[in-house]
Amino acid sequence: MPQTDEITLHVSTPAGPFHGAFPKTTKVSAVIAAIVEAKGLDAGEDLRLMNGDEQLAPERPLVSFHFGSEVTLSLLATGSGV
Amino acid sequence: MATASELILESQIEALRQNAELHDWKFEQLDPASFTLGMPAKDGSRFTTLAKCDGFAARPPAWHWYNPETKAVDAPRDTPLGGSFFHSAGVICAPWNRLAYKGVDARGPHDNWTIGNWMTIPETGGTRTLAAMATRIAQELLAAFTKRMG
Repeated sequence: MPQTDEITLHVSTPAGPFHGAFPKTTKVSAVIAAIVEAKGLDAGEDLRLMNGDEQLAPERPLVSFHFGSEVTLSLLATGSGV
Repeated sequence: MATASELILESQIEALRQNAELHDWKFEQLDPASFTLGMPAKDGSRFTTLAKCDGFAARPPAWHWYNPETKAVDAPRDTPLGGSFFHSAGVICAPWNRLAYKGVDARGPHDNWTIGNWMTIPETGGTRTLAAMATRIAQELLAAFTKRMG
């Protein structure tokens, strides 16, 4: 059961789903770093956390997006538009 | 006994299938090396890809467009357009799509890429797994998609 000061994230990643709870004050950049480590992704890649087509700014804390207690997101591996 | 390539493909398809479940995308595996994947676009309609992954990862998958009702492949009505990603030629323009190579498909915009080097072409970026490719397609359907080809 997540604490009220935590948010549970369900994130599709290049290596399959990640599920985890984070303090709501966690910055998006720290969330990305945690997922990269947990899923064994390449830390040198340009990865963006997306809510639909909205990119979550890396410097913002999770609480600033006003999600509920759980949210489903995507970790997008970018490549240039060609 | 399965080959290393077959095991890698099986593992990657499973990761993608789990991502599809998470986002309520419609996934159907057709055979060990091909599957369909239905995803929403920003106009509320859905598009379905048909991915053929034979030869993966020595060469990238072929990401076709598919009509689950008629079984038509790459029909204009089932093909999204928008930006350079959903190319006016009717193919996804990215090094991780086999159909983007003119030497493979006449519609392919690129004759300057070498298919055997697809993972290291700069435009591939981190999009090297089937799950990453599907997420990118889903994101572009929500962002870059403008209209159907026909």
